[in-house]
Amino acid sequence: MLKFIVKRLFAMIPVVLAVTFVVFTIMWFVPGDPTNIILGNEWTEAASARVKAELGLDRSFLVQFFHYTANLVQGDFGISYITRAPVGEQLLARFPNTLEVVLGAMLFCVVVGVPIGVYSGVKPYSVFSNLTMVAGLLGISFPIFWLGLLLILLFSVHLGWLPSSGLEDGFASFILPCLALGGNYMANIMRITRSSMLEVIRQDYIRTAKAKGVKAVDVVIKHALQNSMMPTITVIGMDIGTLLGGVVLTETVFSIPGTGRLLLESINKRDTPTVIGCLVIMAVCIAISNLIVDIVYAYVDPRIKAQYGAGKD
Amino acid sequence: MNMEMKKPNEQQTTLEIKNLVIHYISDDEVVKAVNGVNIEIKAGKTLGLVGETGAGKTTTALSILNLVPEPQGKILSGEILLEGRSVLAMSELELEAIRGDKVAMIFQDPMTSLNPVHTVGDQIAESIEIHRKVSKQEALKQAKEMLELVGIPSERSNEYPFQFSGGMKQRVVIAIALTCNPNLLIADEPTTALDVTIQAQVLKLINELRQKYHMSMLMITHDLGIVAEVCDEVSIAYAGRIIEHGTLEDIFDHMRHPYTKGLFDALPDIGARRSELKPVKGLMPDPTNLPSGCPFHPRCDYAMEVCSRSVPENKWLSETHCVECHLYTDTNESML
Repeated sequence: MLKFIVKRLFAMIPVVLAVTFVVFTIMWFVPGDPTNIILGNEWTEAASARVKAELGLDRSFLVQFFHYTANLVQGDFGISYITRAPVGEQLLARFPNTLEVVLGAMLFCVVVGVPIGVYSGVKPYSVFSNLTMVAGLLGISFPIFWLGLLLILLFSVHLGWLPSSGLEDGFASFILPCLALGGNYMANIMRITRSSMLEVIRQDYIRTAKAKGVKAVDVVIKHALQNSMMPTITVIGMDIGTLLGGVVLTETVFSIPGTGRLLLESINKRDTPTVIGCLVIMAVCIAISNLIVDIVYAYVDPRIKAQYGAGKD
Repeated sequence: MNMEMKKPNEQQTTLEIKNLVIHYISDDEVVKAVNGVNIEIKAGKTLGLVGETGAGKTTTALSILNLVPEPQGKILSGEILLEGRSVLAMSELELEAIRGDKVAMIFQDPMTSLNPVHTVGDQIAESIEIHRKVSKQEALKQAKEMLELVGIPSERSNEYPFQFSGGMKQRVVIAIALTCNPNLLIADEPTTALDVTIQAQVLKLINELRQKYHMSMLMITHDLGIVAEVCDEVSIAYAGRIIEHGTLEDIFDHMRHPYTKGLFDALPDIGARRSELKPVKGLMPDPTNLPSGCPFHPRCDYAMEVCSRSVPENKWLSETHCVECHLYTDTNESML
């Protein structure tokens, strides 16, 4: 198992490098000159050339890329074009906020979505099950920014229960962003759990358990749940990526100082080092969450654990 | 049917099923799986329930534990008495108490009957824990003894089903069923999924353990060889009805129903290998659209005009032997 984890950690390196290369290339081809924004009204040909030389932008694409990568490997994300502060410091200051919002949304999805999915899978013909399917369809269809605005209207403007923006109020200020970000994914998790449970509950081993005299509740909890969790765990893992994408919208709607909003701002300002820094951090997050999902698989299903042990992954 | 003609009880009855009707009802069709089955098993005896695929054997078996798949499966009428108590009148709590304790079931396919994510030891120990109210450690200890009893080294109790072969899995399924010494063991084609050498071992094991613990058994099979080996009495099922019932001798040597004869004729004869096989002609009727009258009449070589009009009554030919066929309305002698 340990060997498997170490192997997977090493496999992350080429993935992150590939992401860096793609992002770097895209930013290289994006039209517009960063010196326009850096210099603003003071832009002249001479000043632009001076700034470009200073930032190393006058060198060829490959030289720039290798220079950037060499620094990145040492943990140096470069200097922001706009603030002239190290990108690494900005990321360090803002990333925890993003992580809290994403993990909060994830927790909300799992804690609410899984039990509802399980229940409606076990009782597929109940009114409750049909209601959750309608709610699930709505949940999947709502765009984040719209759901976010509706939530702000209801809970902040009309009811005045929760803050509408920023993170100054601690826990309370995380509730609405997590709801808005998680709404979509909760619906997704709910539907996957339901369909997986529907399938598992019809398996022969469930009948065996019932024939043993296992109580109906225990049949679901002890026998069906663990078997039905694989697709749900897969979706939770895949959704980390989507959540990190959604966080750009959520942080913008709720004015949260996180990586998502930083990314959006830096794109608008052509702040290439910050854009790449944000995206690399997100790529690392996704790679790590995939690894965690693979490890969790092994604990849920002994057959997969045996495979990892045999090195046949 | 004519239960008043039944011979008097000399022994305690473990299971009695009277006129059981079970249909699977969905939006656009009704599958008539069981259409008036009568079964009786005395304490310590083994009844073989024989029939083709789709004759309603498994549905009948599941109904004894009240586990007919819901919500489509509906027990429309009939009675199931387990040692005199009506299973269909029991609460969910009472059912949980008899399942695995008084009545246990060995399922057909060992590959899918075990939970893939639990160790075999845990799966055997579970019913001990539920019914014997002992600690987890004690249950696991007993589970290991049970594994040894079915011929699996107890060290393997920590392994998962995927680490076992098919025959070993079926032994585990048997261990689960026998672990609480049930009064009635239902074996639903326990050897169908196994290869022939393993079949013999598993059958021998079931038979030994059954005799050791003096259990009654309902052996569901389509294999007449198995019936000859383990059963005291035989019921032949066709389209959800018992069309002939008798002792092993009654059925094997004095069969009366044309379908029973067809089943025996279909067996290959080692002494006449050049002769062609004689299958029962035609197919099992569609359970959503059963023929009128006797369900076997479209396939029957002896069919008369009356056969398509009315369902034959159950007729007792002797103390032990009964048949549902119009051929025997006026006679007890073989018409075949």
